[in-house]
Parts: sequence; structure tokens; C-alpha cells
Amino acid sequence: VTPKPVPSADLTIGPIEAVIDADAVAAYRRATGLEGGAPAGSRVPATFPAIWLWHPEAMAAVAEASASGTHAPILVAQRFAYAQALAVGERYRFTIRRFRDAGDASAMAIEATVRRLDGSLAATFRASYRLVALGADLAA
Amino acid sequence: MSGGGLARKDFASVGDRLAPQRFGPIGAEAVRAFAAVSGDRNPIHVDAAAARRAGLDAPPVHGMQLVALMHEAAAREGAAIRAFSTRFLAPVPVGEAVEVSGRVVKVDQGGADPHAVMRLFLTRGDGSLACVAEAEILIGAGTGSR
Repeated sequence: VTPKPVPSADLTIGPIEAVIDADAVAAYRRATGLEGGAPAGSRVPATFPAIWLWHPEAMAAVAEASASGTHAPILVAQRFAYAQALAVGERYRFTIRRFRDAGDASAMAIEATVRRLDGSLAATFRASYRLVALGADLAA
Repeated sequence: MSGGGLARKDFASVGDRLAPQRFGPIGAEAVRAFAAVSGDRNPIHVDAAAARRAGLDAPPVHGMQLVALMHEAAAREGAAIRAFSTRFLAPVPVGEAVEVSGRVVKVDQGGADPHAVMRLFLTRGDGSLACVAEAEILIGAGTGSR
């Protein structure tokens, strides 16, 4: 039986509450090579919310795609849009949805919506993946 | 990783250019650090054998790390970015330096929503194109990025 490259069902996870922690922002800036410019922690990098894709309660949306060990997700496109800036120390709720492409079994998209606790929209994020079949390591 | 001290611009005219900025080399340690901080532990980024099994010659830098560098390059020059779209055309192997450049390709000053569109390019060490992005930039919003 050939394993299905894409998880069999669309999926919604959340809303999940998370805080933007100053130490986490500083660590993200260091790891991303953004130590120049603004002082660490003073500005939330626009890509920072992408780490919530790997939040323990949310990571199934992407991780399931490679759980079988037969495929790996490769990021092919992304988009984020901000309705308002994210702030260090602020709490947010995010929801993650996973979609399949009915016409392409190797395509998968993740959409995340980030809202302030008052319900107002802060940001949306979309990542498109191609699930690449893993072959043998011929160099091994 | 790259220099600051760039002139801040409002990017309000078609043809306005983002000065080329170099980042890296982005080594294995930096990629492992990004994997740890972001939580994205896809083995193709840190394991040469896993990368080869996916058809890659070498582990690639995380795409989201490249997006962060492109965004930062524009934000450092004062672009107030409200949206950012990226297409990944080719992997950037771990150990390579990259360069980010860009120019404004569209300006809409009319209405209550003046904004510009900047096209950004991320090239690898050999000059080949790895990512193309479009940033929507608020005009008249002051400097700094969302």
C-alpha cells in the first residue's frame, strides 16, 4: 500500500492562547541573525508568529505530513499580512487550519489567524508546502 | 550578520531601490539554532542524509529564516511592511551567504490607503535567485516595520 503523501483530512486547531515573550523574541532575533538594527526584544519580527506552527498543541498540522517517514514537507511559498503590529508581552489567540489541494495530492497549505484577546484581527499567515517523497540515501 | 546604519527611506516612488544587503554565511550552527528556536525540526535542514533522501544536494536553510532576512533588510531601511509574500525558487544550502535587494514596482497614492509594492530578491553566493518576494509598504506611516 502506497502511503498517502498528505494527511487524509483537513484540520482546524485552536484557538490557542499564547503570549509573545520578550526572551523568546530576543532568542528568535539572535537565531535568525537579526542582532543588528533594533535592540533585541524591542520589535517583534514579522515572521515570529510562524513559530506557533510548532506550538505543542498545533504542530500536528504540519508534523503529521512527515510522521510516516516517507515524505518531508518543503516550504514553497508563504504570505503574512498584518492588521496591527504584534507587541511583546501581549497575549493572542491563534487558530491554524490545514488544507489539501484536491487536484494535487502532494500539496498542503497551512493558514493561521492571530487575534488579540478582544477578538480583533492582528495578522494572518499562510504557508504552502510540497510533500516530497523520501528516497534512499544513495550516498550512505 | 549584516550591517545596519542604512539610510531610511519612505519607498514612495516607483524605482526606489533597497540597497543590497548581505547576510551570512549561514552556517550549520545558525541553522540548528533556528530549528531550536522556531521549533521547525524537519530533519532535512540539519541532517545531510535526510536532505539527500529528499533529493537535495545539501541541507537547506529554513525558508522562514530567509523570509526573516528579506523582511529585515527592508525594515532596516524604514519600510513599514504590512504584508509579505514569498516564493521559494531554489534552496539555499547551509554554509552559503545570501544577498537581499529590492525595488519599488508599484505605488498607489490614491484613497485612504496609500501604499507601495516592493519586489525583493534573495540571491545565493553564486548570484542565482533563490527567493522572490513582494512587500506591501505603507506610505506615510513613519519608519519602522509592523
